[in-house]
Amino acid sequence: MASQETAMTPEAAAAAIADVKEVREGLTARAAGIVWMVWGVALAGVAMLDIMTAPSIDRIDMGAPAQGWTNTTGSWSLVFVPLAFLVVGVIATNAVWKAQAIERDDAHRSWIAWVTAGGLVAGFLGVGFALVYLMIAFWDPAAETTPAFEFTYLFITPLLTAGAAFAIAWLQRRRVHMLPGLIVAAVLVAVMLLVPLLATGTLGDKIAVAGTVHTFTVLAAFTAAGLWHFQRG
Amino acid sequence: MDLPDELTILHQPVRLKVITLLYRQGDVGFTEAREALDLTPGNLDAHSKKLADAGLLESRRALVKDHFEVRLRITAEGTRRFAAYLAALEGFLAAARDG
Repeated sequence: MASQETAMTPEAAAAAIADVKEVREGLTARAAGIVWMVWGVALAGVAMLDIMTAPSIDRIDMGAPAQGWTNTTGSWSLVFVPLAFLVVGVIATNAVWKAQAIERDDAHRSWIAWVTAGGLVAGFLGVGFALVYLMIAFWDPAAETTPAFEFTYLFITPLLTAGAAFAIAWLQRRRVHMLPGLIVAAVLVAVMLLVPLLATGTLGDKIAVAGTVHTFTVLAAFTAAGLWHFQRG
Repeated sequence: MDLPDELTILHQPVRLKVITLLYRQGDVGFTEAREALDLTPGNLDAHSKKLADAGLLESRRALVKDHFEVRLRITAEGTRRFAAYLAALEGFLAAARDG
């Protein structure tokens, strides 16, 4: 046995030492869990704020519906309102991973967080401005029978949050398993497809139900993913 | 690779990886070590026992949340021997490089 063991070459021994990976400590799992829960609150806040404020601001801009659009400042400004939630989400995420890196004496690449933040804000503003532009350009308040661009709340918001779930799972893939995040994205898409079919009443009622269900689904699903990671820590 | 007798116990792929992990982390749970090193429970247990019998690591049962788990920890002797092993390995690699 001894001769067999000493037959291992120095190079093989060095490779064996180099091959030893870091133990997936509980700290990493808990950090990932916190990130999920933070984004659940942030994205639910964005959705909730938009549902609550958009109709009111649009009405203020319109004045009397028969007059059409008398002002558009409010509608354009509305795009910036939920930004605070996104900024909080990015800052909290960066802080959590930086704390984890300090605890493990690892390097923390802050630039990834800031690049992601920049992309997220730019994307959010781009989609927001595009939707407002389309609403003002193509929707006539005087002829209103249905809410403007109802598919924003029925499809675009859920798809964006499902995309966010996938992005979070992807960005954390080297630290924790992607599966919970992929399940969250799938659940959001499923809810998006089912709720309009199940909700009753006018289209406005369906939007209200879909928006509310979506908000709570985001909060519940993201929190569930976070707790799943957290309990493995 | 000609090693002193006290270091030959480390010159085995699985035991070398185990002691390397413990040298870096200090104290590791059995399950975490098994996952990090991609070993079966039996394999890790067998080699851990050999290292423990040689006085290079300690195994203890610790209460974690609502259950007991086995935790592995490198001993002072284990740290000393692993450092000596690394020094010997560096010498062999340097000799191989310099021809």
